[in-house]
Amino acid sequence: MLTSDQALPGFSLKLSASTKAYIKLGACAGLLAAGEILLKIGATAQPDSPMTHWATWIGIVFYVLNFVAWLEALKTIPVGIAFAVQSIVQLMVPISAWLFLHEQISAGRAFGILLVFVGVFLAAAPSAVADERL
Amino acid sequence: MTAFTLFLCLFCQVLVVAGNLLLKHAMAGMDGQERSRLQTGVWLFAGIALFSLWFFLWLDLLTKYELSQLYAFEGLAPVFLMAAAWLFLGEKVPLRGWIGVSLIGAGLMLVAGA
Repeated sequence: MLTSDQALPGFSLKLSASTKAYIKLGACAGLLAAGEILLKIGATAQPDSPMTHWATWIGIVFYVLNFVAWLEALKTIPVGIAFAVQSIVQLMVPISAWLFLHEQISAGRAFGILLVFVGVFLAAAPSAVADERL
Repeated sequence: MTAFTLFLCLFCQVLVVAGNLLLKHAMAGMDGQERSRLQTGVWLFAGIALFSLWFFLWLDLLTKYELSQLYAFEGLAPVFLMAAAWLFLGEKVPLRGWIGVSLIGAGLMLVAGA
């Protein structure tokens, strides 16, 4: 006799607590990058009153969801590791801006962004110590 | 970028770091740690106030500058965190932190100019 578990070994979706936490952390990065793009869309479409544009409001919702997911992820993941993973947003935002908003990124700016990303990644552990003490 | 814009970008990150710290302490208070309700309320209110100020400043910057240029300044958050821990708690910044700060500083100079 086969139980359903044995019949479908690849389909069992039992995620460990830490896997779930990393999914939340990934959701954070995605929400943050998408939120920034939406705010920029709102700010560009209505430069005099960005608050009247729908994209601005969805951007705000994404920001709040990001904050909730961040707090949830931090219940399991150490702050230092979360900061290091989150540094990828430093690349996701400019790449999305280039891809979806067609911003032109000069070689100088691209190199600068890369330096900032490496710097934020290296500073993740010491700044997490600072964050926990403050 | 003008000097004033640069200042606003720096100020924005100070607001974000301070707002995050205030909300963190407010949350700890709501989780039932030994803090008075008034103290928790003041931290919560101050945190939300700083974030609101940050939001409108940031949105205004977004109407004038490209996102790929502005967002690099978010890299200042770990710098300001370490600076605050050094300033207020006397925490030493390790070599790794200094290397990070140097790279972020150099990167931002490039981004501000390009």
